[in-house]
Amino acid sequence: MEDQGTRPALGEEPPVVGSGNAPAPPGRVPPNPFSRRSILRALTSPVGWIPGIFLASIVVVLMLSSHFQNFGLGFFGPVWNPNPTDPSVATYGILYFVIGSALTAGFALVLAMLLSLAIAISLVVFLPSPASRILTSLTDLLAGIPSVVYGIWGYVILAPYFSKQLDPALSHYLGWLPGFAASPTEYAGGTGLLLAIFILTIMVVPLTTALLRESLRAIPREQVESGLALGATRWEVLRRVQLPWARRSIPSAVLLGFGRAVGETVAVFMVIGNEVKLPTSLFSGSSTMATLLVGQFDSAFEYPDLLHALVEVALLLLAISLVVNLLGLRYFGSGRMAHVGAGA
Amino acid sequence: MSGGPDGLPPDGTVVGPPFPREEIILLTSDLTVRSGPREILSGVSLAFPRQKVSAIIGPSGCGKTTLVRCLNRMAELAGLTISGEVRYRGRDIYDPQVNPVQVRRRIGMVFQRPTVFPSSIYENVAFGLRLERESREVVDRGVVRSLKRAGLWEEVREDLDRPALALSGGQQQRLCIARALAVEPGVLLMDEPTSSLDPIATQKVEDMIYELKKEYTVIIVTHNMQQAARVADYTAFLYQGHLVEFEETRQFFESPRAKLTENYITGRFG
Amino acid sequence: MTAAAGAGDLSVDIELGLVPDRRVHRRVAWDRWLGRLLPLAFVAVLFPIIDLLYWIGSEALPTLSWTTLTTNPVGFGGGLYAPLTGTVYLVGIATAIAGTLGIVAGAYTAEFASPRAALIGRLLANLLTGTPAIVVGYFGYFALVLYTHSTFTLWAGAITLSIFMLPYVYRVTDAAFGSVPPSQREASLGAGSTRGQYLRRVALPIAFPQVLSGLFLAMAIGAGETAPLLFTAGWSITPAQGLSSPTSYLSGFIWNYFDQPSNLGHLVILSFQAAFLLIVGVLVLNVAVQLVAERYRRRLRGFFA
Ligand SMILES: Nc1ncnc2c1ncn2[C@@H]1O[C@H](COP(=O)(O)OP(=O)(O)OP(=O)(O)O)[C@@H](O)[C@H]1O
Ligand SMILES: [Mg+2]
Repeated sequence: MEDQGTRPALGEEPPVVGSGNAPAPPGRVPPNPFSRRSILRALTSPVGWIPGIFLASIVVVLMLSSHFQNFGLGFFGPVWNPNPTDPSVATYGILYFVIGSALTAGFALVLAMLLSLAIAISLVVFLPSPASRILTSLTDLLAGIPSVVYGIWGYVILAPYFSKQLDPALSHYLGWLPGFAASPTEYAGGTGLLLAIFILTIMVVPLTTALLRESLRAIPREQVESGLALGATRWEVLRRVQLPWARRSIPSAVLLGFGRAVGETVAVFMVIGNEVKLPTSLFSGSSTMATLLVGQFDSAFEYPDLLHALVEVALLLLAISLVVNLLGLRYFGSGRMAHVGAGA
Repeated sequence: MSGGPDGLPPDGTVVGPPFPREEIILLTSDLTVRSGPREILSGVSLAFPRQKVSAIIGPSGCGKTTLVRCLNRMAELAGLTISGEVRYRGRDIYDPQVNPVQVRRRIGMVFQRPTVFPSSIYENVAFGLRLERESREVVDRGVVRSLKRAGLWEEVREDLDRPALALSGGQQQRLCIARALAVEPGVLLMDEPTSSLDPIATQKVEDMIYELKKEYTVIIVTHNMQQAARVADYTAFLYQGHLVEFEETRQFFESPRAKLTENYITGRFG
Repeated sequence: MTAAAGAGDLSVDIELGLVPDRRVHRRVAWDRWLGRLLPLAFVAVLFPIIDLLYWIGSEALPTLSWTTLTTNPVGFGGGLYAPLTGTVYLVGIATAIAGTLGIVAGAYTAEFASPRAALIGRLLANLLTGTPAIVVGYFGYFALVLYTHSTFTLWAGAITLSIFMLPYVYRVTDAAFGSVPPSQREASLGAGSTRGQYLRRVALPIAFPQVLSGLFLAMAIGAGETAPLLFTAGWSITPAQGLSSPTSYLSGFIWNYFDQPSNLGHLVILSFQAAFLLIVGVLVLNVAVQLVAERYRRRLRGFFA
C-alpha cells in the first residue's frame, strides 16, 4: 500500500466540464439513416457549422495568399531584412519574433497562472459567497476592457514608471539574476519585454481565472462536503479532493491562456518597444510575431514578398493558436462554457 | 436556554425518553434554523443517548437533513442561520472558540448517496488519518480496523488498491461509513444511508449499525419507518420543523403520545 | 472510543480542540493564513486596473463635453463625432450579421444537429474564438479588400468584425437553447407541436434573455477590437463617406494618435477620451449582460419552483 495521497485512480476520469446535450427524448427508436428526417438533417448540418466554415475560409484564404514561398529554413533564421533596394537579397527570418512571442507569452502565462490559481481558489473556497459573487463578476468584467486601452495606459503611464522606478530598482537589486542585469540605456524608454509581460499578464488573468474557477466549481458538492465532514479544513479539501478532480484543467487553462497571449497584438505592440534583436535582458525592446504582423503591414504594399512573408507568419500564428486551443479544449471541450473567454 | 453548571439542562426539560442525564452525549436546545425569513427548524430540543441508535423520521422536507447537519456544523456551509444550542458532551459546539473542523472530526457524517472519492479503496478510508499525518502503521491499522467495523474487510481485503468507484453502491456506502469511522468519531450521523441501496445492501448496513452501537452513538435519518423500528433504540418524529415526539422506539410505534405521530405512523397522512 | 466521561470535563475540551493540540492548531492556522493570503492576488490584479480606470477617468472627464461627442476632429481641437459614429456603424452592422448567423447556427446546433455534428460545430466555433484577432484581420484584408479589388471600406471592417463576434453569439445561443428544461421540451413536443412551433413558442421565450446577453457581450467585444479593423476598415479621421469608404472608429483613433508628439497634444487627449468612451460602452454592455442574466436566473427559478 503506497502513500499516494488521494490521487484519482487510473481510468477514473473526472467528468468534462460543461458537456452534455439535451438528452434524447426517452423511448426513441434508433434513427434510420435513410429516413427523410436523417437525410434532411445531414443536408442541413452545415447550418450548425457556420462559425466553423468561417474558420475554414480563414485557413484557406491565408494559404492561398501565402504562395508558400520557399523561404526554407531561413524562415526561422535570425535576419529579417525586407531590403527595399534589392529584393533578391531580402531575407525573412522570424527567429527573433518567435523568441519575443515565446518570452512574452511564456512569462505572462506563468505569472497569470499563479495569480489566477490564487484568485480562483479564493473565489471557490475561501471567500464568503456575497464577496465571491461580486468578485466573480468583477474579474469577468476585466476581460471586457479593450486591449487598445491597456496599450495606451501601458504606454502613457506604465512606461515612464517602469523606466524611472521599477526597472532601475529591479536591475539594481536583482541584477545578479540572469535577465535582470541591464545598462540604464536599455530601459530608458520603459517599453520592452517586461512591460509587455506585465500587460499580457493582466490581460490573460480573467480568462485563466474563469477557466480554473469553473472547473473547481464543477466538482460535485457532495465530494467537497464529505471531505469537510471528515474534519478536513477548506484547504485540505481543496488539495486532496478538489485539485485532484480539477487537475486536468490546469494544463488546459495554460494552453488556452497561451493561445490568447501569443495572439495579442495591439496592446503588446504599444508597449514592447518594437526592436528586432536578441533580447539581452528583460528590459530589452523586442517584437513578437503578432506585432510584426501589425507593424509591417503598411510597408507590405510596396514589397509583395514582404506581404507573402507576413501571411506566412500569420499562418504560423494561426497554426499555433489552433494546436494550442485544440489541446486546451480537450478539457473545456464541448464548449458550452459560453461565459468563459469573453474578450480577446 | 443555557444549562446547569455542567452544561446539561436541568432535569425535566429534556424532551424525550427518561434516560439518565449522564447518558446524554449530544443535545440540542431550542435549535432554530432559518433560511432568510423562512424557518426550517423551530426550537428543536432533543437529547441523544450515548452508544444507542436514535432515528429521526418525518415527512419529506420537514427538516431532518437540516437537523443532523446542525449537529456537526455542516449546516452553516449552506448559508443557513442557526440559533439555539448544540452541546456535545456538555460543550456548546457553536462556541466561537470551538473550531468546526474539530467538531466534524468528533461527529462524523454519512450522506444519502455514497460519496467515495475517486481514489483507491485504501486512500478513501485513510483520508481522515492522513490529515493528521499519522504514521504508516497507524494509518494501516486504522484502515483495516475501520473496514472490519464496516463489515467490508472480507470483501475488499485483496483489492485495497483498486479504485473505490468500482465497488457496488452498497459497498461504496459501507466504504463511506468506514471512512467516517476511521477518525474515531464519538457520534456518527447518517442521513438516509440506505435510501439509494437495494434490500440486500440495506440489510448489510442495518446489521452493521447494530454492531456499531456497541462502540458508537449513531443518529440515523430515515424515511422508512420499518427501518427505524428495526435498528433504532429511540425514535424522534419531526414535522414541519417542529419536534413532535421523541420516545423509546417500541413505545414510539406501539403507543405514541401525540395524535400527529399516530397519524403519521399509521399512514393516515395528507 | 474515548472513555465514558462526565460532562464538561477536560477530555471533551481536548476532543473539541479547546485545549491546544499542536497538530490541529497547525492545520487550522495554515488554513486560516491561506484564506487571508490567497485573496491578496486580487489586489495584485485589481490595483493596476483601478489605476487604469482612475487615470483614464481623470484624463478624459475634465475635458469631455457634449461638443466632444458632436464635432469632428479638426486642426487643434474638435471632438470624436466621426470615430464614435464609425464605431456605432461598424458594431451595428457586425452585430446584425453575427447576430443573425450566430443565432441561427446556435439554435440549429442545440435543437436539430446530431450529437456528433453539434460537437464539431462547437469545437470549430471555440477554435474560431481562439483565433488571434490580427489573423482574422489579415483574412479580412485578403478576402474583402485585396481579392475584391476594393479599398478599405466600412463594409469590409464590419464583416471582419462580425466573424470575430460570431462564435460568442453562437456559443451563448447554443447554451441558451440547450438549457431549456427537457420537461418543457417533451411536454411541448408530446402535445403535438412541431419542432418549429416548439422553438418559437417554448424555447425562444426561455432562451431569449440569455441570447440577448450574448449579443451584448459580442457587441462589447466588437466595440473594443482594433486588429481586425486596421486592414479592412482602414482609417479616416473624418466620417465615412458611405459604406464603401474607409471609416473612423474609436479604437483606431487611440491606435493612431496615442503617441503623437506634444504639439499635437489635443489628439492625445482625444485618444484618452476615446479610450474612456470605449470603457464606458463596454461597462454598460457588460452590466446589461449581468442584468439580463439576473433576470434569466429569476425566470428559471420560477420554472423549477
Ligand atoms: N440551504 C438551504 N437554503 C434554503 N432552504 C433550505 C436549505 N436547506 C434546506 N432548505 C429547506 O428546508 C426544508 C427542510 O429541508 P431538509 O432537507 O432538512 O428536509 P428533509 O426532512 O431532509 O427532507 P427529505 O426527506 O426530502 O430529505 C426544505 O423545505 C428545504 O427546501
Ligand atoms: Mg433529507
